[in-house]
Amino acid sequence: MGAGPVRRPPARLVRIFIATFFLAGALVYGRTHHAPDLVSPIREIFPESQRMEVQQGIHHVYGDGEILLGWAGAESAAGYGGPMLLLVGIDTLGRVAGVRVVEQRETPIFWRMVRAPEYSRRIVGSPFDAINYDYQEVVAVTGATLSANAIVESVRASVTKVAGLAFDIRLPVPPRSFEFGLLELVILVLFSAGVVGHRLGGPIRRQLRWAGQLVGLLVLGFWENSPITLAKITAFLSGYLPDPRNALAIYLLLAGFLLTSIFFGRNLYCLYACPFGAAQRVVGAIGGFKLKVPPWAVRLMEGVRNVVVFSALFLALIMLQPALASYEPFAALFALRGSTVQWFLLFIVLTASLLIQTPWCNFFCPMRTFELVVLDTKRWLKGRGGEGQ
Amino acid sequence: MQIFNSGLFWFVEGILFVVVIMAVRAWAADRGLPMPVWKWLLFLLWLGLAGFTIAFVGTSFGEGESVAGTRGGFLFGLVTIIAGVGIWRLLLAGPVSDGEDAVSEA
Amino acid sequence: MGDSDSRERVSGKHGTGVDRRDFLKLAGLASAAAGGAGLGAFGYAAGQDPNTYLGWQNQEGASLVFNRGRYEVDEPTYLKVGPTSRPDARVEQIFERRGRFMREYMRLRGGGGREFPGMGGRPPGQTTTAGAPSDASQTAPRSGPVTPEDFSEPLRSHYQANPQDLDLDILNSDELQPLNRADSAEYGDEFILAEAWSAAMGAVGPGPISGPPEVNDYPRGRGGRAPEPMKLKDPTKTAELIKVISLQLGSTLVGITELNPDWVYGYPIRGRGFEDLEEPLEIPDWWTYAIVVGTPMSWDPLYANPNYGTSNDAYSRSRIIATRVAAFIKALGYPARTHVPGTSYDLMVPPIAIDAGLGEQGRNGIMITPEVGCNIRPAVITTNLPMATDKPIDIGVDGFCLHCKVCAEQCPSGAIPMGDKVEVRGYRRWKIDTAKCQNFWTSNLGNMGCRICVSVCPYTRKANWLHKTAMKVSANDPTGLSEKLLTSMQKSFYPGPDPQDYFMPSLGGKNASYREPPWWLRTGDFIDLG
Repeated sequence: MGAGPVRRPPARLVRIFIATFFLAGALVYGRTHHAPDLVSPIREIFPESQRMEVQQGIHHVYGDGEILLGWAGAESAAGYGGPMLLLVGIDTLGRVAGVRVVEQRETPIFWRMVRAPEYSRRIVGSPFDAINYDYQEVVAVTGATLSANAIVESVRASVTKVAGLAFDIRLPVPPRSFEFGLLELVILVLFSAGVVGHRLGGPIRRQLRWAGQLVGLLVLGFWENSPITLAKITAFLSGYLPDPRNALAIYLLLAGFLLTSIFFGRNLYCLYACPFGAAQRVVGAIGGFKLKVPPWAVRLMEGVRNVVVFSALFLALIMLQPALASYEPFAALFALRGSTVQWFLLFIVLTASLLIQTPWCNFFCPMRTFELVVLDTKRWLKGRGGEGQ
Repeated sequence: MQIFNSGLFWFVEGILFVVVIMAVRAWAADRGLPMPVWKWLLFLLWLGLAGFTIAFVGTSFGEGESVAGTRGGFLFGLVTIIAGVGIWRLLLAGPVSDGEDAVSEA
Repeated sequence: MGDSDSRERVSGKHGTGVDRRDFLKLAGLASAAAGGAGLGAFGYAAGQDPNTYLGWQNQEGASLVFNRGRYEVDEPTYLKVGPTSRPDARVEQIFERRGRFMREYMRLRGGGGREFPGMGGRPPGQTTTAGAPSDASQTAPRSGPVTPEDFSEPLRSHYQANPQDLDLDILNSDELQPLNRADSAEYGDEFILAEAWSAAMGAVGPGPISGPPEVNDYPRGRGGRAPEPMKLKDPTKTAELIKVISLQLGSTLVGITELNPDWVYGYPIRGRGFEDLEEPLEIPDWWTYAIVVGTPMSWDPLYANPNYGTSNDAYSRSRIIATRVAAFIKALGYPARTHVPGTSYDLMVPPIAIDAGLGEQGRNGIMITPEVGCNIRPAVITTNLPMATDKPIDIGVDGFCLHCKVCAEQCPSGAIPMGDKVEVRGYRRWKIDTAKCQNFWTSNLGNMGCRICVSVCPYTRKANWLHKTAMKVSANDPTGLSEKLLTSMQKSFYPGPDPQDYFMPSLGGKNASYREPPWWLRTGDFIDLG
């Protein structure tokens, strides 16, 4: 951990720069080339429309003889896998003429759990100030709350905008409080345990770490299935931040990951909170083997992992589909949900855990790549700072 | 496939099962491992788990549910392997009896 | 081991405790006895095995693999929560309502009175309807929005109270049916064999209803006089007799219950021999008991729904069985009346089947049985033949459906509730939206109907060791943990297509089916489509 002055960025840092450059390019491409098509959904809602005019972000829709048919607004809200964009048409009497899902980036499995078509059918015909925004009506199964909430919030934002611009009515936005539950509490406790353990060291650190990981395995794993995933990180990187009021856990986890990486030089998320790391350690304890992987194989696997993470991120950003990035088999273990490939990965990784220590963390996990990026960057910045003094 | 509906099939299965048990006994005696009831119980449970996994995969593919066969095979196979390694280590536990000495004496 | 054995043999009688060889002899004797007994038991079981009645396995009760005794309860698992009333079939029974709607709507629109597509034909000549409202009887076709006030009673009140039903009924008539005809012409060839098979299965219609209950239900002896009812020795034995006769006549399941009048329609529906359809249906006092019979649909096509399977196969067999059971009862001198699928009923069948202990109500609104899951098409015979009745059962369906929701997720129409049970006419139960349901199943291609909720239900699995064990585990687990585990496994291991893909192409779908059709329903393999 030498903090000595570094005159020129090491090779690893150069690679980080290049990767960041390409990812930024992918993001720019993704965000510019995925402008949603609003015209056809508006035509669907207003079949008699002849002409549209955009003013201040809402569409004014005209029919035969320049008769105003209504307005259409489309404001996005953050879902699980990225932004959700619903277009709402309002007729001249102020009633909902139609709702269309313009864009959604949820994993298919989550998308199937929400009932966007049914919700839109239900609110068609309602006056814009009497729309039912109860997202519970959109959820099919617990677990899709974020997606359901995004649908409702996108509709609310679109309606509010049209009401303000077309009818000059400011619709009240009901305040929503932060949802702080068991999960958030456990996350804070785990990071605190990590800080204490890290400071104290010795056998207490060992015991704290085991205790923390077991709690993490139960709560972040089997109970809530909410480890950090590449999809969530990609959503952040692409600028689609979920509403912190009902996605507080991911903010806490990412903040903990970053802060502990920076201040302790080793991120405490992986050591104390990650449920999948815990699962591997439990399996490893059952197996009792501690085979050493030869260094050349470690280097090779780490290289492969970094390339995989980069490619997943690059593809997800260029296609602007954060949910695409996730290759982790977490949901297969914690919720018995996953593609056949993810089931296969789970099988391979946990079987390997019997023989070698935490193979996922070392050879597959994107978090390890991100940790290295953070550490390298920090070291470099610190070195530069020292140089400048 | 008539054989699988017949009693003969299960009769043969039973013979095989007995042979397996006898083999484990012989193996434990050779190694001088004590085999108390709880070890036998664990072993039989594991045998049931392994048998279930194989039968699950077979049944699933048989009824045309290949996705269930694959994913379920991975899940139950994983559980079987991990439990197998754990039980293997438990079987090896316990003081080594004189069995080994007896064999070497003979 | 061989070594130690030889040592024992050498040491002979000097061993401590029980003599090793004596023990072995005893063990040999015991094994021989046990083995012999086992063989005897095996032989007995083999001799008794209903599967040896080739062609008559089910008629001998081989399908009754589930022992209901352990699961019997005094009250069914649906709850009575308030004052009850009988359903008004004229508006609450979807076929009857849509029939009435179409006749009036066509007149409003000035159309040719196109019949609403549904199952079972409407007997010609039976067109008794309330007089159309005066403004609609004018021949001038109406344009502009149709309102509830355009309809006569009881449709008017129903649409006023449930405006969404009017929208859904109009949607079906104005948009879905034309789209269905267009898509059928373009994409329908794929289903030619499936439709032919369905036509074959539906070729034998429901048994005739010869008039109102007092005419139809009573047996006619020599000279047209009703014969004296036979004196029966014991209701328990009579119940056993009726059950074995029902099985012999081909029923897969059979149960008997006292008829709860709450399940009888408040008004009769078309085609059941009643003169005046606007006159409340008075329950005849000989409708005391209900015998429920039923058969499953063919399994492989069932999994290839909504388009390759057909309801007709089980419909046809169930109504033949019911008609025969009724004839048997009449031959004993007692009145009997059949209530058979698709549309020939005076009552709601599923709750009666639940009362008779055949199963419990599922989230998808229909009955889930331990043997065949939802894959059962029941028919009812009402009679006053004195019989011992069965108890309802509790196999844990009620708890399972609470969080499973597989059917609701897969239902393309959104008719199955994601939420909780609701109170309907005094009973707390699952309620599906029959209008949405029918809008999908009359619009998709292939065989009419849908049956997806039947195919995807975790209980609707083949009767092999795996699924039967899973069912029994969930039925006997008081913690509810196994239900969660089994539900998760069901969703991950037995995925279906995206529900949107079930729709026909012009509604954005892909004519998907839950599973691939069996080889004998793949049209392209047999018919040259050019």
